[in-house]
Amino acid sequence: MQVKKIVAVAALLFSGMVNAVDLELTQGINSALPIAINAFGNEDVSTELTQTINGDLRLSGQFKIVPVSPTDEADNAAISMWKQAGADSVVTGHIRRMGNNRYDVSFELRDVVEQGRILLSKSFQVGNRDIRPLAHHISDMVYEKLTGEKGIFSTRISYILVQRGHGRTRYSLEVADADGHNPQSLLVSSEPIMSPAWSPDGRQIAYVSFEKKKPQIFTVTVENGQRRLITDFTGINGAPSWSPDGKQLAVVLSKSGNPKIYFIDLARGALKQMTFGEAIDTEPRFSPDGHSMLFTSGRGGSPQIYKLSLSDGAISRVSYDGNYNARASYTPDQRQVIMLHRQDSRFNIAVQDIASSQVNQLTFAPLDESPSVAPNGRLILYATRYKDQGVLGIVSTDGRIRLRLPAREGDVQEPAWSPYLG
Amino acid sequence: MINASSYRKAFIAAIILHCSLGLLLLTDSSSSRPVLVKDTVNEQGQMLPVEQVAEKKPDIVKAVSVDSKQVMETVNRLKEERAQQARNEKKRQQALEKQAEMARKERIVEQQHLAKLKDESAKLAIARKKAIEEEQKHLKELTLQKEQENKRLDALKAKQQELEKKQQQEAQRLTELKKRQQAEEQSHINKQQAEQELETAKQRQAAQQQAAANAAKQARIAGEVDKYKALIVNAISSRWILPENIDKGLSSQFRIRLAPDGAVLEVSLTRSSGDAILDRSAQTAIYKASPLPVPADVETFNLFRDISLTVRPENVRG
Repeated sequence: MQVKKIVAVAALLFSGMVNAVDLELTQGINSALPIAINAFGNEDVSTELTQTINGDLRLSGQFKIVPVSPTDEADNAAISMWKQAGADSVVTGHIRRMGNNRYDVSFELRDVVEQGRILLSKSFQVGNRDIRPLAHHISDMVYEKLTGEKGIFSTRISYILVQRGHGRTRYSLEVADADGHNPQSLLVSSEPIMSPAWSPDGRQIAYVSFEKKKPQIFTVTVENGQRRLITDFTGINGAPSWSPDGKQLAVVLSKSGNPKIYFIDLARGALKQMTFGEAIDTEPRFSPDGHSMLFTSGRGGSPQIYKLSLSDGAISRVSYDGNYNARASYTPDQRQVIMLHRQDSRFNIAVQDIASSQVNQLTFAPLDESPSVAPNGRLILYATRYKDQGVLGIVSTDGRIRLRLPAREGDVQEPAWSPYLG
Repeated sequence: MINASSYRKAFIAAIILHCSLGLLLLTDSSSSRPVLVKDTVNEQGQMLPVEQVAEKKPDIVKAVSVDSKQVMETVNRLKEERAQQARNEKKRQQALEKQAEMARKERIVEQQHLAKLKDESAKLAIARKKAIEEEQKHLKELTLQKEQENKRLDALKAKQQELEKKQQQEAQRLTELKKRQQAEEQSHINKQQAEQELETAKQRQAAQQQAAANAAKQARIAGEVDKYKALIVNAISSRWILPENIDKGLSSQFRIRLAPDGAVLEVSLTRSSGDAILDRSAQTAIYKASPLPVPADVETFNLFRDISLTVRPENVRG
């Protein structure tokens, strides 16, 4: 009997093994993740919250927002409705007024295709003015849950706003949310302000001011506007860039002839020349690991990207494609270089793969400039022109999405994306 | 039903057992022996030491006297010694008498004990006799019962024999019937043989056709399986949104249970890649591809009821 049983079981197992169909899937598609956002309610705050999350996720380039009609409950009917609409996941939530401009906000992220399984569920109590930051925070959580990467919706951007009128010009250093909303003037001047650069901790911005009718490099603390003069040499004082540890500032000085790159120790004020020779060297930018520095140099006859190894001082050329490449910076993973690239007579944003040296042009406008990469390396903020005005554009590193950010009236120049904050 | 022979055996065994028990009880004499042994012990004499004392008389008369005074002294001393001896003897006699008295008393006690023991053994014998009588009575009863039982068994046997007779008659009838049938069959046998031969030829042909059909079916099923394997993989692949910057060396494995219409009933992750995003992306694609293309033929579909899917993010299309 026992033996018979064993034989039967073995036969069953064996037949099961023979009969099971084994499939192998090795190919997928490159596509944005379809997500639905169910309205958090009918009130103004609800609309603001829903729209902010919607804008964030669309801005990220990783999501396709599937339009759905709002429902109160995430019941089976709603889930099949979202599934029908083609959403893989859905953000649902509610806002309840607690009185005195305080709100109780709860949200859930659900997997639609898996019968509405809850992936995230949180609730918060916030004041009236924190609705937008909360929306960005929710976007960050949703983004991280679904892509496995940190979201950038709570980071900030800075840029120079130039407003002309009544015979005088107003220059300001603006700081805004990553989606361009909520801009605030950190500095205002009647003389040009240029080249804002965020410190690695996001607390300070280095910039160039012409307030004394000559270029000087300052740092300003974002929180309180406190300023510090860094360089005031004869000639050019420009293009400041922070080292990853925040202890040094790379700057361009022409105090001894042609513009050359120097490092300034911020604690001791010590100055060290990093590049030499007759050619113009400018736009230094540290690598994320702090081991090297990219810069633009005319030493080859035309502006091209070079790399200075900080361990041995060796310089190697990075860009070869085209006769004008400038404003280079690494993506955070150091696998790509973002740069200004001239094709024909047009200046556009391009990305060069480090391993293959292949250059991929991302924008195709007549004049785009000043690319600055987001801390997650997915998006590039840049200055472009729209209706004869300088505005901000965002393009994803893979070129899949491209959009313009809302800005105030005026010319927007030289945007810079902050690191992850707090 | 009671099995007659087995009952008989048991009965005989019971009789033998009881008889032997009775014999044992009647012939057992071991219990009277200890009494006799005690008697022999008591008969051993206690008087022997007295004779020994009589023999021990000293032989003093042979002494030679030289001096009367000395002789007198000697005589006196001897007298004294004799008196002393007589006293000692008396004392010993008394001691011996005492001992004899003690022994006598002991014997009385012993005899009393003996009488008691005899009494007890007599009682025991009576009890045994009673038991034997009862046993014999019981045996008688049993033999009576057995006789009754035998009578009953005989009746049963008679009944059985009757039944057997009937069966034999029935069998006879059947054999007669069979004979008649065989005769009838015999008449058809030539015809049937011819028919059978035709039938076997037909069957052989059918078997050959069946084998050919089976082979064709197997081939068709194999073809269908391959076809639907490709269709299923394609259906999932076209919906699998690969996470960006995914490690192409990763792989995970799923088990998918399908309904006959291809609907995905259950997706379980049997081996995770370690990357939750990759795992979920594939799982989402599987659910989204539901219902999957499956063969309509039930037999072929059965192979697709439970499928295993290994996922490797090697290529991106689109």
